[in-house]
Amino acid sequence: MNNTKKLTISAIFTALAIAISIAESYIPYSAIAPGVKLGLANVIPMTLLYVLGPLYAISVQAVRIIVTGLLRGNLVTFFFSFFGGMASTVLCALIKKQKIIEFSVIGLSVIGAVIHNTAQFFTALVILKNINILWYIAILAIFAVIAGVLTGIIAKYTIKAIERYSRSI
Amino acid sequence: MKKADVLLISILICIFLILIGIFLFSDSENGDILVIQQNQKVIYKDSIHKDSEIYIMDASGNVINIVTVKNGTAYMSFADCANKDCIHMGELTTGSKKQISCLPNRVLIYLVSKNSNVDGITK
Repeated sequence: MNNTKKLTISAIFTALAIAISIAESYIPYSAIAPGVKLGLANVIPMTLLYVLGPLYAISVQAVRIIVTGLLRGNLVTFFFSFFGGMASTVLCALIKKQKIIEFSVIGLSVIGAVIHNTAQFFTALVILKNINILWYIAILAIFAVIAGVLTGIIAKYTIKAIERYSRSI
Repeated sequence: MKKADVLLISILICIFLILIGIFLFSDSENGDILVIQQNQKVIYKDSIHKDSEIYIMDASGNVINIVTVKNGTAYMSFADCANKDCIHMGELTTGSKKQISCLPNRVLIYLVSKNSNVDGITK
């Protein structure tokens, strides 16, 4: 793939990720449990990690979080998405790079979801300074594993589709 | 899915179930004093059996949350944020270990027992 193609794919995916983030904020997940979220937008950096490499994945994730933060929410919610999203994408890129234990997209996606959750827990700890909030984070972490499996499956098929596409042109 | 994936998912679920288990079976204090914390400071502390409505305001005086205390239960009855998670978190009754939090507004409400030192937790 040449650079123009890479740039075009990242631009389309950034726009897609922002649209998914905003669309997802209208889904009433609170009916399941307050704070639970599928995190569909995280399919995008996960896909890019495989298709274009870690730098593209991390930059697209950063742009998505900043733009979504400007469009919705306040400073506190921005910090939540920022620390959660960046920690998960950066650490996933590092885990994918090591060759000791090899995970598939689904495994990596689960790791990403749990890191997302853990980073947000530490952000909550700094913002609220109250350790008792741990109980709720443990419940959310179970949902994070489920969400990680689901987004991992979506990412797996997206990666396949893009690889087929880039071979055909 | 690879073997490593299955192993990872099972280990993670076990860890979190154990954490929830530890939490559920840990010693419970019979907390019946409602504490409201905003920006890491305790702004309200009174018995949960005393009915009242507490208006929580931001720095410029706008009401951002309303906590209602009624018939021994406390719940968030209003929030100005978008997702209203804190309203969906239900109510606190005597002995509840859960906390209701409104993260965008940095508001947290929970129960403590008579002899516990609130400042020790929130400092």
